[in-house]
Amino acid sequence: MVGVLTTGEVNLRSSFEAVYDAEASGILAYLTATLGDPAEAEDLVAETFLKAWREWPRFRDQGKPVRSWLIRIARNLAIDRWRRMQRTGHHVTLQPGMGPALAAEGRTVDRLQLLAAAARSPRGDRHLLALRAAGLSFAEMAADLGKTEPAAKMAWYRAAERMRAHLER
Amino acid sequence: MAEFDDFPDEIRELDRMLREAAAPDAAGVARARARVRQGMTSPAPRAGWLSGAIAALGSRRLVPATAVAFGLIAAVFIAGNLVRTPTVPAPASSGSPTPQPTGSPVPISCDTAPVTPFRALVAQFDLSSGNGTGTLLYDQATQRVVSRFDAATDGQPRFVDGGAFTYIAPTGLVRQGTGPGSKPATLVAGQILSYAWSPGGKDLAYVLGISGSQTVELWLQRQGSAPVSLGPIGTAQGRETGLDDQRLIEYSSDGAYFAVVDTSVVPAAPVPGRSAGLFQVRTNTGQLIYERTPAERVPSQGAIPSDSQVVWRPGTHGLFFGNFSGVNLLDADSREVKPYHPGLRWYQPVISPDGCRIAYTTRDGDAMAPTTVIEDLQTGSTVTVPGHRSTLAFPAPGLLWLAEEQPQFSAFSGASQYEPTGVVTSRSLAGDEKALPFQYRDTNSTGFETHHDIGS
Repeated sequence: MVGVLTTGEVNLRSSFEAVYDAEASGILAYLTATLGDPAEAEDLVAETFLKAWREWPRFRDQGKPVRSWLIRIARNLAIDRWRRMQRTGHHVTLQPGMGPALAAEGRTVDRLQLLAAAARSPRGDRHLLALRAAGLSFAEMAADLGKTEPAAKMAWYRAAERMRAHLER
Repeated sequence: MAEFDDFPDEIRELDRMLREAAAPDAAGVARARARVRQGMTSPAPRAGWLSGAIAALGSRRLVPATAVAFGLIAAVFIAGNLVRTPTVPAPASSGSPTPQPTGSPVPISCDTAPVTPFRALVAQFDLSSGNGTGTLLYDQATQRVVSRFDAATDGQPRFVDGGAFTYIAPTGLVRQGTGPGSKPATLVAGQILSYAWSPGGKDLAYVLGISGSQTVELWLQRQGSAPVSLGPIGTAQGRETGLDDQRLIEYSSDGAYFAVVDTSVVPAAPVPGRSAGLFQVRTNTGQLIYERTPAERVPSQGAIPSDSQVVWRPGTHGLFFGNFSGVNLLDADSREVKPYHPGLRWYQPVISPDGCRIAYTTRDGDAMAPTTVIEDLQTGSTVTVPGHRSTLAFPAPGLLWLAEEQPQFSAFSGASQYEPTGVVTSRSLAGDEKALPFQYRDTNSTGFETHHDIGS
């Protein structure tokens, strides 16, 4: 039963909602690239923020980067979801507006093909590709990965190369 | 972008395309926000509070991610693959309210049983000699990987017989011979959610997702005849990813019955406040003889499902299943359910092919530390396997395959949770252990399948 909220609780909620507004798009992009399925990603972004909400009082005062924390939660959830999709022979459902093809080296690559290729990359690659898809700079990726910026850049480059090779098959 | 200048054009283009492809629309963000706000309507959480909040908010328990994949391992039909003469009951008469298979299951013998040669299909692996993908065929007699099948990457590989197996692919159910040069062929087109072969590989039961809707149907193909729909059995919600979740079809060891369990399928008339999920037992003719109705189910705890983690007891028509009250045993003949281990929460139960022992995993604490227990089903005595391993498979009467787990930091809980390391060990009942020549990948894992009479 929800009672009357205290001032502290109101502040807690408003601060968390501000985090949602700032970070939800990036987390959703991360999950879309990780899962290869926009609908699944949308479902999981809500779950990500609900989990974050439960930990918000504890996390809020630690002074750690919020985006990195959210990505970690999203990543853990995505791994679960990804396995399940594999187990169930999951199909990506074509959503309205997902049709436009993207050109890659003279080939036509559907948006879903591209996302599927990212999602089917090895786990480490997938994470790197999704971080970029979420809009992180290499400097931000480096901080998230605990690497130097050149190392993060090179790791992403190799992941992208492997994905490109996969697309060319 | 300056940070990009030293990359080839095609890589820069790929980056741009992927960002564009993954970019969410505002409507999706708004829909998710509405769900988050709805979930935040419970009292604000307090620092240091974890598990209670999860239940209160009606969410799932956070589980070691890979354990979810290993959950499927409980679905291996080692028991269904026993080298026995199947006791195929006469088809139940149409319309009979209480169809009953005739005959009795073959009683088990727990005499000392040497490890009979078997082969195992392992989906998703890393070979110690290098990376591998797809499915491998491991031969116990030579303790070597004898074949790799690149095509079988999509789940639930199961032997049809010694010479072929099937797996779920995006296009449907695919059959792949184990011999050299064999090419895959689609057996059933469509979105297969789960399936099982009867012992001997004569009958095929499968759950099919209907295109364009959330409806799922149960189908049965008997002894090479045309497949028959047994009708819609519910709607796929498909959102659970926890340890309790299970999606499988499994035949009893004599093929008289099969169970259909899917915690992500909601039956036609769910009862609010009660656990949903599908739990049916049918005769091999497809007639429904038992169903855990929503009213029978214990109250749900958040979204954690109930009535799952099932396994048939070989040589009987008994089906073990777990729920919040503990472990229960259903007698498919009498439809009677009796408590078996009240209060025990088990995961990944697997039964030795001779039906004499059962191994399962329990989980403790927020870290979900796994402990595997081997129980003698005749005496009830138990042996706890040392270390933190989860139960993987019982490929032979005296042999258990275990997945090693180690704590890994979780950003969510701020603590460590146990995750498989990939190391798989074969352990005899005497306690001798040996690492297997492959590692389970902790992504894509889809389970083990063993076969006991190949090459004989």
